[in-house]
Amino acid sequence: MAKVGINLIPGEEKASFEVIDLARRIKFYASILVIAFLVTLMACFVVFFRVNSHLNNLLQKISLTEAKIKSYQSPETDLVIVKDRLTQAGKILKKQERKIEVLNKIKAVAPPQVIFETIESGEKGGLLITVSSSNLLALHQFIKDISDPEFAKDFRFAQISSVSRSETGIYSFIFECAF
Amino acid sequence: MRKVEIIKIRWRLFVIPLLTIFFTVVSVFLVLIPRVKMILQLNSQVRESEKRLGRLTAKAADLEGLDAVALKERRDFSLRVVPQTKNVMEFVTLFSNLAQNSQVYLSSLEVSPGDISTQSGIVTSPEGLEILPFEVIVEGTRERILDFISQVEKSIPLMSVRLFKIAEGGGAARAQLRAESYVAPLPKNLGKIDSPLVKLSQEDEEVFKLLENFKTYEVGWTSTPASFSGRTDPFSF
Repeated sequence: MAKVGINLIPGEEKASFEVIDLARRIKFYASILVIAFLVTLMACFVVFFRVNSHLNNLLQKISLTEAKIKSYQSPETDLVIVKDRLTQAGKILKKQERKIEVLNKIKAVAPPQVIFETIESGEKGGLLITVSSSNLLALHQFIKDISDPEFAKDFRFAQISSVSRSETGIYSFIFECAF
Repeated sequence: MRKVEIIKIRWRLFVIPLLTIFFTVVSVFLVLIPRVKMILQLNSQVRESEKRLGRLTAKAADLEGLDAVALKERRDFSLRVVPQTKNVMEFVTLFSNLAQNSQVYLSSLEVSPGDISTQSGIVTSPEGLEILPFEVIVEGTRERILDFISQVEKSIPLMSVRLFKIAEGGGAARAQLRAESYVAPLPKNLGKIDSPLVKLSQEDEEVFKLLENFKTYEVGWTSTPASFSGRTDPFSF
């Protein structure tokens, strides 16, 4: 059998109970909020002090290590200088090596009658060689050899200019190449 | 009158919890959030400090393993290979000795050091270093001259031959040589605590070994004994 609920509280009193109930609920949520806030704040303080002390500990270790590194400043400076100078020297030697390689390559195809009068290194890794000979045939052979595509493949460019003959019968030309 | 009393009672019931909620929310913004931000900031500082400590510890360990005496010797040698100042007399000594060793006659030696400080150098080499140019004229047999030329590029301080002009006549040869030596200031990041420790590569070691075989002469040192005569004080008459 269904129960029949009969509210005997007068209408005015009923409204006041609802208000009190709402007030209680708000009070409850406010308490929860305050407790949650305080717990979080406490947790924050604990974490803050722990992290802060860890950081101080780290900073102390860093300053100790810095002092240790400072005591080795002289060998470190020496090492930096050595490294710098060896790097510079390495670059210079590499360029010299390349220049000698190219010169040897040119020299290898030059007949004995051919003379390199002037050898000049250019600013951007090029070579300018004044070649001369009284033997036209030897000079012709040399020009033929250095004009060969197989020979010139290692150069960025290779060109011959100022071919001339002097009063004394010496033939000469300028061979310019970049590598 | 009764209604006013009821409103007063109801207001009292609500005001305390609502004020509590209000002040708690305000405190979250004024106290809690800045505190959390501070913790996050501290945390990132801790992470950075841990990384830095790791780097510094590794660097300190590497530094401990260095041989300070050997390094000092290497530094002195390296600073002779590419010096930081233009020591003209060192090159004069070098060319004189090389000529004597190669048995050629050094008929002319011209050096134009210009500004002797490396800080305001004007002329630079293709390698980006400041240069000290030389003009040398040597006489001798072709073979001796070629030997002299090859020795120039195998000497310390390092030099490069930029121009070589040879003229032959009557069994003798005369060669004009334009060479340049290099000068560079000291590196700028010397001994900074946080900079990583440089390490010599295999290539650097090979270069060092190669340079050790190069010829070097002390200033004033000559292959043959020098004789002194005349005035010794340039200011006395």
